[in-house]
Amino acid sequence: MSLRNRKKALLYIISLILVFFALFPIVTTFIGSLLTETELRTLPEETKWFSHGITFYYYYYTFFDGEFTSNPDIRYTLRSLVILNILYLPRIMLNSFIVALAVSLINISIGTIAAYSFARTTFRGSTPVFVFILLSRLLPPVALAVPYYVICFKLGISNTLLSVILIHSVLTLPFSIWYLTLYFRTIPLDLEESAMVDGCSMFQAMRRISLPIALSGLVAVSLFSFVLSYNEFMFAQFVLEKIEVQTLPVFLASLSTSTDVYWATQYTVLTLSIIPAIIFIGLIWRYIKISELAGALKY
Amino acid sequence: MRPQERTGILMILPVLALVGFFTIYPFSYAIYLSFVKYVIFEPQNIGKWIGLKNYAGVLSSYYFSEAVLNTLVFTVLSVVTIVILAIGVSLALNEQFKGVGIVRFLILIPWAIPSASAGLMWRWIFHSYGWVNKILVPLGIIPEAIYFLGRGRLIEVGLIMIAQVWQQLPFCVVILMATLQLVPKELLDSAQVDGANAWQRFRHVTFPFIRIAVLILAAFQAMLAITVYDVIYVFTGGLWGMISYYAYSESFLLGDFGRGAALSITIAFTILIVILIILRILPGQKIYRYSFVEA
Repeated sequence: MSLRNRKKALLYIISLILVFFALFPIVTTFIGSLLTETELRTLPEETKWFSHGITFYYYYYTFFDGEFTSNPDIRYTLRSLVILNILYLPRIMLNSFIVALAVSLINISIGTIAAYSFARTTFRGSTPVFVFILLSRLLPPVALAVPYYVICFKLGISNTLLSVILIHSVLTLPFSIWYLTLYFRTIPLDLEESAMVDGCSMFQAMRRISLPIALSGLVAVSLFSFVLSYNEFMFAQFVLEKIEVQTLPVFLASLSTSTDVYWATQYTVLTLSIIPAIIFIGLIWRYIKISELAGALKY
Repeated sequence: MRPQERTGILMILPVLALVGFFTIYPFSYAIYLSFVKYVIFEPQNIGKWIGLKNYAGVLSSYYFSEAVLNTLVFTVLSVVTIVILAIGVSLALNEQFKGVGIVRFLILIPWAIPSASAGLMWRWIFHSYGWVNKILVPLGIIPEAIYFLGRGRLIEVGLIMIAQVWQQLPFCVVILMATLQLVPKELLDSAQVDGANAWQRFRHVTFPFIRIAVLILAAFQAMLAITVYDVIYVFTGGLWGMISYYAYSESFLLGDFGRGAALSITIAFTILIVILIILRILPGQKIYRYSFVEA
């Protein structure tokens, strides 16, 4: 085999291992969500794959309240607690979506405005403020979590989605501002200046000239902040104690720590929690190019 | 003040107010808490100044030394593994071959999955009723189910590290691949013409270009590992943890917010020291460029 072919073969083997490593947990989770409770609870030594068939019943039960099936494989030993809690799942998924969407909107509104200011105007204290906002992320999350709990309680917003929206915004804004500031700096000033000579205000120049050019940067920032907020667990767990306001990761964690739970339900909720992630990656892949990131690094 | 200046300040005001309020106030409050008695089961003593007693109590406890040991092992293992794998994988995927696009896409997926979900997925892989056993035992590759969990904490730390690598690797690979674009192709070609082998080309041509990115990724991963929480909480079913989990349990399970805060502040200063060491190694300007890794 020539050197060239050997190198190619090696690259394919590496790729195969990587893809297997990346996808194995995802595929098994999906398969697990289709198996019956009886099969999941069979000892590995006695397992015959798919001997109890596959079922969509747990998905069905999660979304449509009703009589629990009498099929003994699916029913196994009836576990009551989670059957009550699982009915909150659609609400909880909606909560997660609302929070992530709000965080994303806050990022592309006040975040964009601030980034524009950092990129285009100079005033005393501009650089220290920029550095402060970036470095604010260096505080470890645990150091902030306990005070956040107390602050939210004092402000009367504990157990509301607003509290998590504010906290997640503070977590995501530094990155968004950093990214957008670099983005705006790559847009030539001349365009805006000529617009301002023609009588536009700075704000109008930004809205009419720079924002359309920076559109792909805005898409990137809104996607990143959406994903980060959608995935965040610790702060959400601390400030959201009531089940009806919880977000998906918090709910999932409470399922995982309960012993009185259908394993099949864990797999079902797990699968539901990763479907959005796969969609995000698709969107990010579509809108963000690695070469573009390299451009930002070069700057 | 020029009108443009005033607009500039007005434009950053909302963000500054939000970020300022939600970082300065909580952090100062945590510092205050760490010096007072704040046990919710002893309401008569709340707010009593007790100096460094919280710190002394935390630092001398048995759980603290165990948490530190676990965290240290976890941090070293995961940082070393992630960095080495990220360099190798990014070099491999930087090559052009048929299907490289789809590989780059697929390996990115774990990055977007919530870490709570990742912890649970990996628990169901290593569980005694989990996928490793359910696949290998019926196939006859291993004779009986292996109990990965509950075999001692350091083994579990190793397993959690796999979950951490699974989640963090894609991001590091993307950053390093982006950095690799900066290596001039002519330099690599001329090194090859001069007879340098693959390792020499990497060591003397490629590595100097990615050195700073590697260092920053290592620092970032170290910070993530020291404060790891989500994966641990879910993987172990909330039974025990590393240092962050210890801070959580002091505050929320034992109700001693003073000690919880003291521990948090200790972690914060540890991380600060890590950062300062890194700042000394790195030329200042470059930090800026990579500060996005904080996101």
